[in-house]
Amino acid sequence: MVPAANGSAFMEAGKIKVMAAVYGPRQRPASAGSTSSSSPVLLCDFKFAPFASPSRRGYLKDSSERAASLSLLRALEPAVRYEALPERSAVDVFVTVLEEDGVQASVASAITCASVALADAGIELYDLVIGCSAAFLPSSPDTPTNVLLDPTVVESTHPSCTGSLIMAAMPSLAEVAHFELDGSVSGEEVGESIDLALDACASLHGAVKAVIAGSGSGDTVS
Amino acid sequence: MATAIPGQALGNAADFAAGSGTYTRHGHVYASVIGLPKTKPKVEVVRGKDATAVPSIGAIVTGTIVRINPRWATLKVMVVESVPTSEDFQGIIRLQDVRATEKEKVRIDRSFRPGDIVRARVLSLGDARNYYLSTAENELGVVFATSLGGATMIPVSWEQMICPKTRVVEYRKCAKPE
Repeated sequence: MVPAANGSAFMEAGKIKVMAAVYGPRQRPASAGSTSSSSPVLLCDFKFAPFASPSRRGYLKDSSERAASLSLLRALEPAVRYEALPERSAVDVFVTVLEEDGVQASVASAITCASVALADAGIELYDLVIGCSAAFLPSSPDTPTNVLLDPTVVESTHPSCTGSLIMAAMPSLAEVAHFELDGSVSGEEVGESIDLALDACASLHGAVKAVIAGSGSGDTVS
Repeated sequence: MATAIPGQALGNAADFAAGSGTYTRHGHVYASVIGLPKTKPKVEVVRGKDATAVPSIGAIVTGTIVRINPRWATLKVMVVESVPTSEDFQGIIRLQDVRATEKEKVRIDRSFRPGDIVRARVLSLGDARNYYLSTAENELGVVFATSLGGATMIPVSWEQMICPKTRVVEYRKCAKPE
């Protein structure tokens, strides 16, 4: 995907198009981490392309993109084998959303795409990290389930939507890497959504593995 | 065996020793990189692409001098051992690390000039910005330099190089040819 990067990946999920590029391990910039520690760092950068949304976005990162960068870091960190990285090195992850369809679903796709790019770059990982998002809508007699997985922008910004979640799972190890819940949601709804999201992560994991295996070892995954 | 993917179980830790590209967790060996798994003599996952080179302590590195000042010379590291780096690393050769003897008489401007290609050894990871490098060995120092006249200079001693065009002698900390 990105010839200059050590690893890269591109992913489409519905309308969402995400691109991830991984550089490193490279010399840790003086600005990253404390100067006394020599531990390696992961640096994540999440950005919506200016043309990603119906309304044009700026070139500078806004607060939602800064928050998404942090979500991305939190989701990928548990999977990275820091002990296998050289001392005082940095791994840069740049994710660009070329077309978005709801912020939560875009972040979830970014997590999946970034973990594939990390694997493509040869960064040692415990497992791939697969992202999934959900929106909570009030239940009614004709809609038995009120959790929508990977909602579109219409669903996640619907006036009756009561909350959203972002889940990042490591399906091979059956572990959750990151979990974000927003809004006012009941306990049963959360429980139900976690089960649904884990199932979705597991099936997406199968699809991602098939793509990696089909692309040939170490070649660029697309 | 088909391509292994990070997180894929490769076998029981009791039966196999975990090699490169793998890790052990809860009594099982798992892959940690994309690649082809090998089972003998250890379980390993071999990547198709080469890993990028990163300087490690004790490694011989090669690069160009980008800046000098009276206390140190800054080197842009481009090759580690014999593997080119995908991106440049910055290192410094401090005054006291230029040569092994008569350290108090060393002058940076009589040892290196910007543009020289230098071979050095990594002393330590250094400070936040720089690796600390040393040329205090016979085989380390300037391996290639051009004179003020623009010609490639020839080493005449361990601290002098001569320009074949103008016959001007310039001072360098020369590397002993191998």
